[in-house]
Amino acid sequence: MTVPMLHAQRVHLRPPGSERDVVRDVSLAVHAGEIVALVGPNGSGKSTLLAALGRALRPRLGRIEATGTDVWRHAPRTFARQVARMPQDPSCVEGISVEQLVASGRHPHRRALTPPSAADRAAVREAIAALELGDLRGRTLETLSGGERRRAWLALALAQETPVLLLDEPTAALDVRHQWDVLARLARINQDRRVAIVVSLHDLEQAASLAHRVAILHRGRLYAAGAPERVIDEAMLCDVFGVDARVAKEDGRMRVQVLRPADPVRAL
Amino acid sequence: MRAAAAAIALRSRRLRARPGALPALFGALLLAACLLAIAAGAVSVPVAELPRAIADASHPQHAVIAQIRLPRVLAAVAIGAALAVAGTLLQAAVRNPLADPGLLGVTAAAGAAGLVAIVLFPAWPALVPVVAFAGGLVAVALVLGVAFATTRPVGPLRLVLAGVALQSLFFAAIAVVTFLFADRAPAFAGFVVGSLAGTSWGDVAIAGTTAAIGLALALLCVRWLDLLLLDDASAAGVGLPVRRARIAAASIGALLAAGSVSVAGLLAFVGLVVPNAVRIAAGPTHRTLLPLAALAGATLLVLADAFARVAAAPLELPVGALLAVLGAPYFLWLLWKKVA
Repeated sequence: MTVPMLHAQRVHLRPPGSERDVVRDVSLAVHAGEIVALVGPNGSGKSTLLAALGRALRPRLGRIEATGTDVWRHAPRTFARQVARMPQDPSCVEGISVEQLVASGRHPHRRALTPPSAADRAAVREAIAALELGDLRGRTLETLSGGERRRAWLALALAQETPVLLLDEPTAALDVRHQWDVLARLARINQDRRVAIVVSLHDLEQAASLAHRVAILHRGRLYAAGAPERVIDEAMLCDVFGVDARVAKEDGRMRVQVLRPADPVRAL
Repeated sequence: MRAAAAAIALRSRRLRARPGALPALFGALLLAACLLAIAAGAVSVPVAELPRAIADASHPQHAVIAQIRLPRVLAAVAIGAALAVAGTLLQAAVRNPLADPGLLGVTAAAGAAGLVAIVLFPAWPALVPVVAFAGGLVAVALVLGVAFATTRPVGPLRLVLAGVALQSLFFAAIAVVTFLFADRAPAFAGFVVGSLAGTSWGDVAIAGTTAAIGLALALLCVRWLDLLLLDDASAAGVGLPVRRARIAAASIGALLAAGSVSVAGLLAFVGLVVPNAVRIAAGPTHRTLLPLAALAGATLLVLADAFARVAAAPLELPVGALLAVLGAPYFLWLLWKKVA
């Protein structure tokens, strides 16, 4: 068994300002080149877990290792060369161009007080090309549509050239077409660059079609983790999401049809 | 207003496309402002005669130009540049366009500490900016503490209110010191409003040295400053030690404010007006913003000080009051635009 790229070991997480642990006793290993989807109802701890995996939140208990070393023992820039993270709602001041934003992803690779190297410029160029932002590179972020902006932030994470990518709801607040567009690009990135991706998603069908493994969080605990067809089923939908639903397979794709809220007595 | 801003932005984008065009323009404006300011005044000398009046000790106006006006204009250059860069740094540190060393109480704290040094150690004028820097750091710690103590995002208004509270506290300290040591300290009114009257070559050395050190340090940090333009999570995600970057930026701002306050008292609004105006023309990235803000801040203070000398001659207006007339409405407009 190879060492996981990122390995959460029995972590308990309490975000600042919270009175209790939002994530409790969760273990999750992310291996090179795989896509792991985090799913679960609102408030189940997906964002908190992603923040901790991205070294933005120190576990209260337990530890998180990147290729065998505690993430908090890495220097910030060293860690940023291994793991890139796109927060749920990234923002910047007005007047930053797409190209400038993407170039900031090179910070962990650049030496102090030197202009960008040929490798830096190539990485920015490739990230911009991979997300088809060529025509928008000179535009400032606030002039872009929501979907374009999401692509620009994704390009920043890509320019970091890390073996692991953490994405917190990259499809939130996008229309169906742009959701599909983002997911297709993630699959491409994973195939072309062999990048491991951990992504939180709300749509179970999207999670099933994109991910090699799905991790289901329920009230801060890991309910199940495994291949999509093994963990997404009617019992789970009732337990975790509180709905009566049909799960079927159509042309090799998983279909989840929600019928009604589950009987409240059973849901408890 | 918005149409005018858009027109400026469009034109400046064309200028930005040619690197070097904006710095050359700003540099030429500063040079012209300096020549004008050295030439104009109670004793006026034609610009063409300035080199001789400065270099030739037998020129009838040599004493006035070389001993009074030249140091005053050079001090204005250094202080204007320092305050504009200090404002740029504080705005990056608290990620808030309303930040200004004056409004956040940093100059008031530096001033209060500097006054204490003047009163207690009158024999060592070089100590003043050092003690003022220490005072400025105290204010920076308080401001950053207020702005980032809670995990909730802090609105721009809360920061401004905290600045008001700090400012009045340090104003009180300044009032007490100037009252108790009226024989040794500068007059309260002149110090609080800010003025460049009676600037000596020794003052130029203090203002110039701190401005040069501060600007050099700021330029060393441009990449950190640019990453502070992203939200905290994204900045940390590319490996920026966010808290350390903030403290560094604000501390360099305090150094620049301390140098200025040691010479000219509490000049407000330069650090607010200049970076915000330059950003419209040059964009928010610091590699271009910092040098341009330095040039523009210097130009503004040189012109304002020259105007203060000649507008009501033979009386001299306090330049700080003039800047407030210019800056306060701008501040209100920014407040209305950013908070509403």
